[in-house]
Amino acid sequence: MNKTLWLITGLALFAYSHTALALTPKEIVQKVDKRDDGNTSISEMTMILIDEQEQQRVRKLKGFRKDYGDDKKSLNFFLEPADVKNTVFLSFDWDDPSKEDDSWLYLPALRKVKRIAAGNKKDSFMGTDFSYHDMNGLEIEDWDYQLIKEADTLDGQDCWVIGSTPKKAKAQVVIKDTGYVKRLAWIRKDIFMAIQAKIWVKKGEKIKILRATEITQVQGLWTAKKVEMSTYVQNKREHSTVLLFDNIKYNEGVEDDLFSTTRMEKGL
Amino acid sequence: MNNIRRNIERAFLNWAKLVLRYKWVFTFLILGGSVLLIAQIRNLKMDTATEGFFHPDDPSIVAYNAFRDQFGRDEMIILMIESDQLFSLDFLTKLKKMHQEIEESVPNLNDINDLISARKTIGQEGALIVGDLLEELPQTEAEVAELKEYVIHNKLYKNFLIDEEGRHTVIAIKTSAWSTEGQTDFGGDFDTGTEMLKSQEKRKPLSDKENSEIIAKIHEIKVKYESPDFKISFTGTPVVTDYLKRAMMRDMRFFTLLSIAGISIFLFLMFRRFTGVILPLLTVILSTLYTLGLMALTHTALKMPTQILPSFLLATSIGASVHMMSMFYKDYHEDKGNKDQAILNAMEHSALPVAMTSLTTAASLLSFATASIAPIADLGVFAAFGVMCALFLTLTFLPCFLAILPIRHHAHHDSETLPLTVRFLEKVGDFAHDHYKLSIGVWTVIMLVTAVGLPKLRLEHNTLIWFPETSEIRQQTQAMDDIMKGSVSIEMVVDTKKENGLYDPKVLNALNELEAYALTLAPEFKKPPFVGKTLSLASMLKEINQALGENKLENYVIPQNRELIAQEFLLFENSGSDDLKDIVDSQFSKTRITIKTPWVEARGYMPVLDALEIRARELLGPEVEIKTTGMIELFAKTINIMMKSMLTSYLVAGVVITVMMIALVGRWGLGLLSMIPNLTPIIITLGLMGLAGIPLDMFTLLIGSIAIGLAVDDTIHFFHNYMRYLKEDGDSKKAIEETLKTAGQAMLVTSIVLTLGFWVYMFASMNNLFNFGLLTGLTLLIAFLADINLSPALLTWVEEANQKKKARG
Repeated sequence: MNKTLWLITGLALFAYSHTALALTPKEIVQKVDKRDDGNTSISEMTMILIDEQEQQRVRKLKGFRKDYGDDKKSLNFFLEPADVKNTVFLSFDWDDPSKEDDSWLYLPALRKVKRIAAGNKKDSFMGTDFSYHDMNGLEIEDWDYQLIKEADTLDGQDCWVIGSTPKKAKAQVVIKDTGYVKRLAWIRKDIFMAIQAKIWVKKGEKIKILRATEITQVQGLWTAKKVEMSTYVQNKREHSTVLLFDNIKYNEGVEDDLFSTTRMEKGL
Repeated sequence: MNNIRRNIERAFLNWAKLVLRYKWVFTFLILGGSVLLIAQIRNLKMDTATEGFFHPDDPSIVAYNAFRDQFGRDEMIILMIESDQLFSLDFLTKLKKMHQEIEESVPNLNDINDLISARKTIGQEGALIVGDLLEELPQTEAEVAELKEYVIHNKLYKNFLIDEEGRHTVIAIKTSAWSTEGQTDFGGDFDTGTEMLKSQEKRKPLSDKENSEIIAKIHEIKVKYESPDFKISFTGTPVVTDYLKRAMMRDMRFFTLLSIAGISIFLFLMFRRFTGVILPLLTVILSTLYTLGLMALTHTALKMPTQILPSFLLATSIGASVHMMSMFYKDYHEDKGNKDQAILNAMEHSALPVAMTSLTTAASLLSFATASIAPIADLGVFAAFGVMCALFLTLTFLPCFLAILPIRHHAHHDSETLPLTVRFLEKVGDFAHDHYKLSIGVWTVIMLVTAVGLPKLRLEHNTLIWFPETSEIRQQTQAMDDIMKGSVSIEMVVDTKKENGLYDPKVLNALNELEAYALTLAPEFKKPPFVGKTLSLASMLKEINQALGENKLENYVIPQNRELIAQEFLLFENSGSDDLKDIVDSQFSKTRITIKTPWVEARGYMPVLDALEIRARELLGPEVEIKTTGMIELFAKTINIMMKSMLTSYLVAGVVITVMMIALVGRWGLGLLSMIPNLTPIIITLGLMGLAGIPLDMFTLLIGSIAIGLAVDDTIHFFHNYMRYLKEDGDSKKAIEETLKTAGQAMLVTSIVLTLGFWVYMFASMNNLFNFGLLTGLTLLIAFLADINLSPALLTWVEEANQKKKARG
C-alpha cells in the first residue's frame, strides 16, 4: 500500500513538473523576447570598435527609448568623438515587417535633418559588428527551435542551449533577409536572458559570437551592462564591437515629443 | 695538368672495374636506394599559389598580406557583357537573373558589383538614399530612359560598370580572400554541439583549388546566359592565372611525355637496340624521380618553375649516356663482343668529359641557388642535384646493366651502316680544316647579322601573350582593356597613422588630387599602361556630398570642413551601405585607392607605380605613410627582381663555365677559345629572338639554362677528345678527324635526338611552349654545327698560327 501510494504520488509529481516546468524551446525564446526591459529607457552608451590589430575607436552616445506596444522609437545623441558631437540619430522601428523602419540623422555641421532610407536589416548597425537585426531582434516565427542542451553552465549560471534554423518553407528568404544560416543561444534559466550566442553568417562563412556580461538589476529589471559581438573568419577574429551601458534609467523622463525632428536640432 | 687528367681517367677506369666486379652488389644497392628515395615521392606537395614565389618574410608579401587582412582580396573576376539593347527591359531582367544565379551558386563569394547592385547615392526630399541601383527593375520605357540617363552620367559607374558608349556593362565578382576548406559547419544542423570556436591567429588564403572551382562555376553560368545580344567576355587576373596554370600543367605534362616518346623512337633508330633506348631513358627517369624524392624528403613543394625539371634532366642526361653508349657499341663491334673490355674502354674514354659536362651544368645551375625568389632557388639546387644523380647513374647504373643485360653482338653488315655518318662528319671536319678561314668568316657573318637583333631584345614578362592570339582569354582581356579602360588594378594604401585621420580635409583633398593625377598618366590612352579609372574615399565623399547637395554637379566636391566630412560619413554609414568597410579601416586612419589599368607586361607597371608613389608623397606629406600593393604590384616587383637576379646568375654561370673549360682543356688560351663555340649559339639565338620579337621573360630565362647546359656539353666533348688525340698523334687534322669519328658520332646522335625531341613542343598551343621547343632545339642545332665546324676551324687557325710562329722562331 505504502509503496503504491509513493509510486502514484511520485508519478503525479513527475508529470506535474514536466507539464508546468518544461517549456518548449520556442516558448523559451518567446519568453526571452517578452522579458521586461522597461517601457522607456535612458542610458549612456560607449561603443568600442576593435579591429584585428586590437586598435580601438570609441564613440559615446546618450540614448532615449520608448516602446509603443511592439513598436519602438529611439533617439541617440552623439557625445564623442568631437567631429560628430551633437549629431543625432532618430529611429522608429515598426513591428510590422512589411512596414519599413524610419530613421533620420541630424548633421550639426549642415544644421539639417536628413532622412535615411531603410537599408537591409542584415547590414551593419553604425559600422559595428551588430546588424540592425541584432539590435532589434529577429522575427520569432521565421525560425525553428531545438533544445541542443538541457543544462549548461556559463558564467556560473544554468542555461538552456537553444539552436535555431530558418523554417524550411522560407529558408531562402530568411537567410537572405538576416544573412544567418543558423544560431545557437545560451539562455539563462532564471531570468530568460541570452548571455551568449554563436551565429553562422552565410556571406564569407563568418562566425559571430555574442557575449552579454555585467548583468545586474537596475530598478528591478535585469540588464546586461556590457554586450560584445565579435566576427571571426576562419576562426580568426576580424573585428569586435563592445557596447557599454551606463547611467541607465527605466520608465521615467521620456516624453513623446522627444521623438521628433525638431527636437533633434535643439540638442541635448 | 695532363697528369691530373690521366689520373682522373685512370680513377674512372678503376671505378668501372670495381663496378663490373661487384655488378650484382651495385645493382642491388641502386635498386634499394631507388626504392627508398622513390617511396618518398608520395609525400611531395604541390604549390602553385602565387604566394609560393616568395620567401615568407619578403616585405612585399608582408605588405600584401596586411592589405588583404584589412580590405580582402584585391583581384576581381570580370564578366563584360556587350549588347546593343543594354538599356532595355529584357536585357536588365536577364542581367538580374544572372546576378542572382551568381549570388546563389558561386562558392566563397564576397561581393558582386554590377548595374544590379551598384551603389546609388542620391538625395531625395531631404533624405539621403543609398541603395542598390536596380533593387527594383524599371517597368516602363520612360523609367528605362531615366535609368539610362542616370547611369551614363554617373561618375562612379563610368569605365567601371559601363563603357563610354553605353554598349558594354561589367559584372565584377570579388571572392573571399580566405579558404573555407575543411569548414563543414555551415550546414543546417548542430553536429558540433555547443562547441564555441577555437580562435586562431592564422588563416589560409583561398586555395588554388577553390579559385578554380569558383572560376569553373562562373564559366558555367556565363555559357548558360550567353546569346548574340548578350555577348559575354570573361577575364580578370584570377581567371588569367587559372587558365594559365591549367594550360601549362596540361601542355607541359603532355609534351614532356611526347618528347620522351619521340626521343625513344629517335634513339632506337640511331642505335637499333633496345638497350640503346631503355638505358638512357631509365637514367633520365630515375634521376628525375630521385630529385623529386629528395624534394619530398626536404619538404620542398613542387612549384610552377620546377615543372621544367624533367625536360631539363632529359636534355642533360641523354647526352651523357649516349656518349657513353656509342663509345661502348663502337668498341663492342670492334672487339667482337668482349663486353667488359668495351665497357672499360668507354668509361676510360668518356667518363671524364661526361663528368665535366655534368659538373659545368650543375655549377651553372647552382648559381641560381642564391636567387631571392624561392622556387628559382629551389630549381637551382634540385636540378643540380638531379644532374649529379644522372652522372652517378651514368657511371654506375649504365656499366652495371650493360654488363648484366644480354647485348646482341651485331653482325658486320650492321656496322657498315655507320660509315655514312662517319663519312659525313669526316667531310665536315676536313672542310673546317681546309677552309678554316671561310668557316670562321661565315660564322662571323652569321653572328654579326643576328647580333643586329640583340639591342632589340626586350626584357619583359607578359603571361597573356603566352596564350595563342586567337584564344578567348587573350582576346577578351584585350577587349576589356580597350573598352573598359583596364582589367587589372593596382592598390595604394594611405595610412594617416591617426584615429579619424581621414576626416582631415587636407588628406581628402590630396587623395582627390592624386586620383586626378593618376588619370593624367599617359592621357592620350595610346601607350599603355595608362590609368583608366580610380576609386577612393575622396570620390565616395564627393558622391555623398553631391547627393546631400540636391544632386547638383557643383556639389561633387570635397567639403572643406572636418566636422561636416565626419558627419557625412556617419550619415552614409547609417544609410545601409557597407561600402565604407571595403575602403577604410575601422579607425578611419587608413584607406585604399584602387587604380584600374590594362593588362601589360609585368615590368611595364613600374613607371606608373613610381610616378604614383612620388606624387602621393608630394601631396600627402611626410607624416602619411604610402604603400603601393596588390597582386599586380607584387608580381611586377617580383618579376623585376627575379629577372635581374637571373641575369646575374647567368653572368656567374658564364664565369664558372669559363674557368672549368680552362681547367678541362689545360691551357688558358684554348680554354678561352672554347668559349667562342660555347657562346656563339647563345648569341645567335638571343639575336634571333630580338629579330623575331620574342621577349626575354621568366620562362625563356629559365629554359635558357637548358640551352646553355647543352651548348657547353658539345664543346666539352669536342675539346676533350681533340686534346686527347692531339696528344697521341700531334697532328691537328688527324685529331679533328678522330674526334669527329668518335665523339662526333655521339654528338650527332644526341643533337639530332634532342633537337627533334624539343621541336615536338612546337605542336603546343601555348606560345611560350612553342618558343621553348623552337629555341632550345635551335640552340642545340647551332651548338652542334658550331662544334663540328667552328671549333675545328678555330683550332686549325690556332694551330696554323702556332706553326707559323714556330717556323718564324
